[in-house]
Amino acid sequence: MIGIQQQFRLEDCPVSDLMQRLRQGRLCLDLGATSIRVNSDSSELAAQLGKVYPQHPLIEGADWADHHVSVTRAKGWRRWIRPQVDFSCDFQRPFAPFPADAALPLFEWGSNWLIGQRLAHLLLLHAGVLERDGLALVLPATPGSGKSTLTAALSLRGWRLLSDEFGAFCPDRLRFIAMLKPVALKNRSIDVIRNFAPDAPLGPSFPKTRKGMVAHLAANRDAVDRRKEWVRPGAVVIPRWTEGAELSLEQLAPHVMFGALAFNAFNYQDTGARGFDAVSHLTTVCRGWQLTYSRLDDAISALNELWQQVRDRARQPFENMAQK
Amino acid sequence: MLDINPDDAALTSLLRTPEGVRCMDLGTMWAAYSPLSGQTLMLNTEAVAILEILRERPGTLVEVCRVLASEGGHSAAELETLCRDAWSNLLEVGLLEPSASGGESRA
Repeated sequence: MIGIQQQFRLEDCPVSDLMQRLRQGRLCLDLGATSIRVNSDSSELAAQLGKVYPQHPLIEGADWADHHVSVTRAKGWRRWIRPQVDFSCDFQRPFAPFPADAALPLFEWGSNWLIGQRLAHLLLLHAGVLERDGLALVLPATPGSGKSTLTAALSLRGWRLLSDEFGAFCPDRLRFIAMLKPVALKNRSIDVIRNFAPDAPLGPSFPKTRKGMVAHLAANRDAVDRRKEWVRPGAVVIPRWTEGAELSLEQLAPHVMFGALAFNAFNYQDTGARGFDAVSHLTTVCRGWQLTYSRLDDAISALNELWQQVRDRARQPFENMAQK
Repeated sequence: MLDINPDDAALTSLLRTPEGVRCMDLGTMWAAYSPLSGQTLMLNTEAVAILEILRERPGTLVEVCRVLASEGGHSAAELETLCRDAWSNLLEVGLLEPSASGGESRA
């Protein structure tokens, strides 16, 4: 059983204390759908985790974690010359080392990879997911389409963040659950969010990663505290950021929505018939739209307006079933 | 020497829809899942009609086209030409499989 001391969060913990917990492999991050125990001798990682997971609870005496990872300083010459850190899990080192000061991007990248490989009981859509009025807004997208930027912006305007990367959908419960990690913003989107919300809790910027400049937006306290709440599917919106474009919201044909959900998912192939049934369910209960936008404020206004329709429709489930 | 094309062989084989094939109506198209290959494909209504006919009873392309022709529209010969590629593709992705019970054919 996990004992959560609700009054203590990572933000309450001095870096020296976080460092000690990391050294002893006692830092457990509960993301909602899964949990990760982290072991590290990197003081950089301790400080960086504190900045981008500030609201996550400090968990004492967790006797179970789904993933056990290590982010450790490379040995030999690399300890002294242009130091590096390694990511490992179960004695495997799936990635090349990163510079020691980029321990957080390595942790985020490595743990995302593990989650995508291992959580076979959930269908892991490649999508941002947010909740409002008890319904999930699913934002599937291809990289570069502005999904993370829009997810971050919505989370800063009253929508509850479940995930930026993994739409974790349970085929048995037919509900979403949070996979609550910080939103990874890349390149221009970092300044876009800084300008959009100057008080946004952004962590340090990491230049020259494989994806360019990366910075992480921390989840807020409400999102963290409600990360175990299951959420009904509400709507699917495929965002597309286009410079200078007028805002448009066009309804998607069901086969386009099905393809966007299934063929973009991390583990659709692995989930077999359960995955097919899960995507079929989502395509049946949700309507889908393509959102083209250039200004975040316009996009958010449009989604807020759209949500009224989604909410009204969700209140009439039996009527909707009959129409289908 | 005889030149046997495996695709031609498939066209005259007795096939059936494997157990566990799922089809989802998506309006103008269908999504179909094969438990044999683990693949999901987008199909048109004609292809799904083939699966549904062969779900009930194994058959050859000629037999399936005869059934489809009886529903109206095209002649069996026209349908055979139209469905030839789909037939091979459905077999390749595991939405059809050779039938072990050859004697159940309607021909």
